[in-house]
Amino acid sequence: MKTLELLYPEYCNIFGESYNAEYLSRCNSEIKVISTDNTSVPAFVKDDVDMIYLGCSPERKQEQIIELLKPHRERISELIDKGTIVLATGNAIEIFGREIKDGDRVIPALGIFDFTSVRYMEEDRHNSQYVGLFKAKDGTEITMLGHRSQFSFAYGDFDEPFIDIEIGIGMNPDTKREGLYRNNFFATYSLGPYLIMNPLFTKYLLRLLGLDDTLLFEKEIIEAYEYRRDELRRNLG
Amino acid sequence: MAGSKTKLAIALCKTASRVGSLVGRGSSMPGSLALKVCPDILSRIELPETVIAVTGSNGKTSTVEMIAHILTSDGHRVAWNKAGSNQTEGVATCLLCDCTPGGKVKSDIVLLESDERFARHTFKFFHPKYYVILNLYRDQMTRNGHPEWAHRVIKESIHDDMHLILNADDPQIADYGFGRPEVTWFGADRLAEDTEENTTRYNDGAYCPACGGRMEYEYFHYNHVGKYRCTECGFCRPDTDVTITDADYEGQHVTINGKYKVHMPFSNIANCYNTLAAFAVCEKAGVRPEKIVEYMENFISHSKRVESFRVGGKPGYLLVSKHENSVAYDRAIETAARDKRSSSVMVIVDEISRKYFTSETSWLWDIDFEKLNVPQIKQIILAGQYCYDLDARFEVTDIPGDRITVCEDLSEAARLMGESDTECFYVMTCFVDQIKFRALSEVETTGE
Repeated sequence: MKTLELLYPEYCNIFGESYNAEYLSRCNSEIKVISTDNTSVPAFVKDDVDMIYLGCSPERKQEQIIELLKPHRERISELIDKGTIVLATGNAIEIFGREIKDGDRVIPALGIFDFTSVRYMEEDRHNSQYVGLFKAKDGTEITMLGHRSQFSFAYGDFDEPFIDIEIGIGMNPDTKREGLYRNNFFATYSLGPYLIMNPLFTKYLLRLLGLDDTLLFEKEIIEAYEYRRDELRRNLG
Repeated sequence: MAGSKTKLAIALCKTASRVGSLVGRGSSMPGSLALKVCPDILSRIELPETVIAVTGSNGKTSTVEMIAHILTSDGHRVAWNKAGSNQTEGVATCLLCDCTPGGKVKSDIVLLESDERFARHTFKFFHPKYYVILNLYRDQMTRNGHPEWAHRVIKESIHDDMHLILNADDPQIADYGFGRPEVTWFGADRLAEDTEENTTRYNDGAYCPACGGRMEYEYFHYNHVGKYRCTECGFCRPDTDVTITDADYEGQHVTINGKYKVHMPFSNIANCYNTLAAFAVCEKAGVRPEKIVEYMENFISHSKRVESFRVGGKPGYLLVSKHENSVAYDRAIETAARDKRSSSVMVIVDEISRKYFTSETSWLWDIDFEKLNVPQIKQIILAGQYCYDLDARFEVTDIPGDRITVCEDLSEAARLMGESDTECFYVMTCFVDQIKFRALSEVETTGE
């Protein structure tokens, strides 16, 4: 049995994020999902879970999540160092940075990665899509697709990027480096049901979990992925 | 006395509107030009005492249409943005085209549909006397982000001198009236189809908009709309002044305050609320309730949210929903699932937005497609260029696969639907794909 901890699903399900965990668990019955709400201590604090997922949340909730996770900062670092699979999508990525600036306010984040996020709440929301390449340490290469819709950007060196952007922007409009990748920690600004949108990456995660990588409705999911990939290249390339 | 800049802006707006109407660009462009000439023109003109504004995520157009019908039936001259442009420029077009050259609005009532993002900008220039706020949902992520952000920007449009007319059953909306002295609250008593659990894909009412505490619901009318209370700060659903006491979907009417049986244009819970909001504000504006009931009897909606058609001689209903808005789809699904006749349902996602390119389909995962899993729905056709995303979404429901057909081509999809042996059809899609469906040679529109 593999354990997937879904952190704060009531906070982090604004763009269909909960389907990431649901889909993965439907792909393989060996995966058991534990949902942790804002009143509970995360399971990863005491036990070695196999995977942790944290999705996008409204800004106020994002700050609450930082407070909820702060007491467990060292444990999160330890889990990342020992290779636990972690996936963070949308503005959850900012939680792992040094701080978030919102006008005059500075919100200290977990500080596991060295970058700063800046919110631009009074400006129009940034919307874009990306096509990029994920090069895994084992040599696997996967074309990744993403949708971003956000009030903030992140600034830093990003020398551990998850994806090299081919079309679109990275952590901010001036970089093609997108996301964070350290051991088996993956984070991206992309929103929503990321694992459904990126079935080849989902297969990769299943293999990392030591499971058979057959996807649920593999043919349909890959058809949708290929259609979108070609459409994005056609429209944005 | 109007200044020359005011007069010029009005003249320009009127001229541009006449020219624009000839080329189909009459709703926002004239106001945009006027605002360029005189950026504060909306604060310079003389408005009538009664200005009504309506905002919210869903139902603005339908509600405003009903209010306009009631007020004009009651003998009022009403200026309203019926062309549908609801941002500041559209409001400017509406008002300036109704002005005398000297800047006095001629109508005795102004009625404005206002975009929820732009209301804060529009209402810097003037304050409506009555401000109706209908609801707040996940809607067009690319424009509105998430409900918490939309909640904040609507709040910025509210001023102390406005009389708020608020949906008590939507906690995000009720929060605007919390602690405010004069509010007219509208809402529904417990209804036959209410549930004690939230049965939808997510719960945007899980946490208190006032303090962030956990909320408890006694019942849900739909999504996060229902009877709620915060477990921490005392925020709770207010008692209502204007109340739906019964909803009869087959008879197509709602009963308000236990005695006023009001005809509604479409039969679903969302339209109960739209009708209720229209009733509440018209009563506040001085129309007698008995007269509202009378006027609504002959109300015909022109907003084309439901259209009849025929394919292969059999009846069909086009339920126009908004893409990127799961609540609108949920209501369409309820309507189709409520029909006891055997039916085929087609869901079309061919173009996500008419305004911008996006292939973002995360909103499909928020829609309660599971509710189409009723025995009388014999066939579900997933059509349009995003049929593969729809297919992936439907695969995660428990709907038997042999009921589902995937067909990218709309014409072929319509043909397949026409070949089914069901008694009727339902088609769900948004404004832009609606036009494509109507234009198919297989589809005979009935004009209803």
